[in-house]
Amino acid sequence: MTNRLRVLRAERGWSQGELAERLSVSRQTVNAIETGKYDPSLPLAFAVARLFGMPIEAIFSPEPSP
Amino acid sequence: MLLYCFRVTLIGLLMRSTNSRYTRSVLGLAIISAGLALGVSALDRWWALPTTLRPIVVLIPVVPLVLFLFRIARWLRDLDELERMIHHEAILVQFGATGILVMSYGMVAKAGLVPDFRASQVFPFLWFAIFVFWCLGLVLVRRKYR
Repeated sequence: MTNRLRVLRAERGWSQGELAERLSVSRQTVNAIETGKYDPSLPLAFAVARLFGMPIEAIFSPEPSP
Repeated sequence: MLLYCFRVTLIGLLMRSTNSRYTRSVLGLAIISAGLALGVSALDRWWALPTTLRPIVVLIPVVPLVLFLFRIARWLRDLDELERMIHHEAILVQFGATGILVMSYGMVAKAGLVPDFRASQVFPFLWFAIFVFWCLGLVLVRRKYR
């Protein structure tokens, strides 16, 4: 699974900690999602999509990470 | 008692980054269980307990232990999702490692290469091993998601 979380976060000028706070998860979780080491649960993926105002498939895609 | 103290310290380390409400109650239940185990052991040694009551009395320390495990389960459910997965994987490591340790020791003991301990002699050490392997599992699994 690949995602655009790092890019979207950078566009808004948020740190990993700030994003983690907005999503009510740990900074470690945000880091693991951004680096592709962890795929978020469906509720968390929806929360990310809601936060960025985009559909889930615009942030996460099923292609394997390079 | 020393092993119980170790266990309490290990639980504290495992739960260091989480809700203090859970940490307090889990540590409290572990201490109550240790205290009851010592109390029951002293009672059994110095007082002649009635035969009918004895099985119930000697199992009293298990009650806070069961509550302790339920509390750990509640604590795990309330964790951040990645942290919860890390703990689940660490528990798998702990389960496998404890099982392999017990089975290997049993096989070696059966072959007469090491002393064959009775279950009543080793159960406090088993608890200790469980928590050591949980910590070891956490270290190994955390590296994967760092």
